[in-house]
Amino acid sequence: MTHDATGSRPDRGRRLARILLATLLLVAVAIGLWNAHSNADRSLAARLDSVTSGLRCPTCSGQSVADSESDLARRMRAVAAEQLAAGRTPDQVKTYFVQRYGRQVLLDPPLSGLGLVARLVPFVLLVAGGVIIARRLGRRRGILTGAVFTLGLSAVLVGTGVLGPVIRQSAYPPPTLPAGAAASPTASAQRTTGTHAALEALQSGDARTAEREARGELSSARHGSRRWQDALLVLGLAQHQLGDKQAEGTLQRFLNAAPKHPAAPMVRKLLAGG
Amino acid sequence: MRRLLITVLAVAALAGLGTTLTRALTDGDGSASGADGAQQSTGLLDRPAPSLSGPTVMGGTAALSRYRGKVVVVSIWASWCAPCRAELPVLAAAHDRYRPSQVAFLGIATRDSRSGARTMVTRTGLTGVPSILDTDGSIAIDWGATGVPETFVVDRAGRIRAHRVGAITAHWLDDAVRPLVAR
Repeated sequence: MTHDATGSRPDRGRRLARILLATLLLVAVAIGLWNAHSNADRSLAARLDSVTSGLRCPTCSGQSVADSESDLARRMRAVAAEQLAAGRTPDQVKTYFVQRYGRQVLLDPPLSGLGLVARLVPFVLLVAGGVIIARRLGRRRGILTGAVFTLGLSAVLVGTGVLGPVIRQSAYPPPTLPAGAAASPTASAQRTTGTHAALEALQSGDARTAEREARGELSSARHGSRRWQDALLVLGLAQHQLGDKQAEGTLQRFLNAAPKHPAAPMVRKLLAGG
Repeated sequence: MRRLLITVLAVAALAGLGTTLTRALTDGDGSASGADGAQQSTGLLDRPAPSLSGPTVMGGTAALSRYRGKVVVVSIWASWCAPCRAELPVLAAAHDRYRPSQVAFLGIATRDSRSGARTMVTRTGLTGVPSILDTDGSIAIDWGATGVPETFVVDRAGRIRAHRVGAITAHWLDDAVRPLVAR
């Protein structure tokens, strides 16, 4: 093996590094493009899930619209499905809800404070990496390689959804603060959602609505909590009013979960009376 | 050469670290603000009101666009909602009181049956206010409502200028409507 035929050790090493780097970049770009393509071509169900899992159910505690069984979440899912089927993109559907319920409806954190810094970290690191490579390799080849490195890794990060939220944030309009009256606790106490709505529906003879509201409340309340017990009670009573065979089981489940509930004696009497 | 490889690996590791940090913070923020997210209000304040039209509870049709140039009070209610039963007479009285001022009133009977809503309208004296039937609740969502009752006041230019979650009072309505009528 002569020196001329194979080149010097540093030359060989440099060539190997270049091949390695080029391969890495090609793989990175390919993965990025593949991910971007598969994201664009997802089914309606997958797009619906991606939209609703990023939205906060406005009447639940920390649940997404995808996870919540509350009546509002169910209706929001139906509206989102309708819009996606009509050809709107997931981002357009999210914007629709943001415009109506404020930016708080997004489960993604707003771009501010520590969250903003954290989101910018990948960008800064990417650019820093490109600059370092450019400086190491020298002017001509280095700048090109550094730029390709940055673009390649960006493609991977965007494709895998890491940088997606940062890019998407800019598409939403600025948040609008609600009127003071609208957010006041007094006003909230006067409104009808969840178990109250179910109970009122039951009192007004609308057992179907009561059952639906109670089911929604039951799924969004913490298992075993007082809210959950109340929802179970109203569900059982609604089923009883509807002549549903499940009523007895539901009410028995209520008694097992809340034997000391103020309504327990009444329920026992109801069950004893058939 | 070795330096280059070390540099590439270091940058990749740092990018990975940054990504992990980002994801961790994203998840943390999501769960931490969950409870605060409950009972949020509309994001439509000071924005153009969504289009609103459809068949009414008492028969016929109604549309918000017919009232362009007027101040419009839009109330979302349901016959199965107790606070609404208390609120609708207030709304009916305000409708009579504001008639000379050319303030229009529109209702949205949400997640309601026509018969139930009709009974409610008759009982509460709301017969002079057309209420659009929103059986599946999609109109209420279009208005950013989270429950019933909710009330919106739309100005002459068609923008939502006031929003109330919960039953309204005559005092609140006067405060919201009068400045808009005077403009």
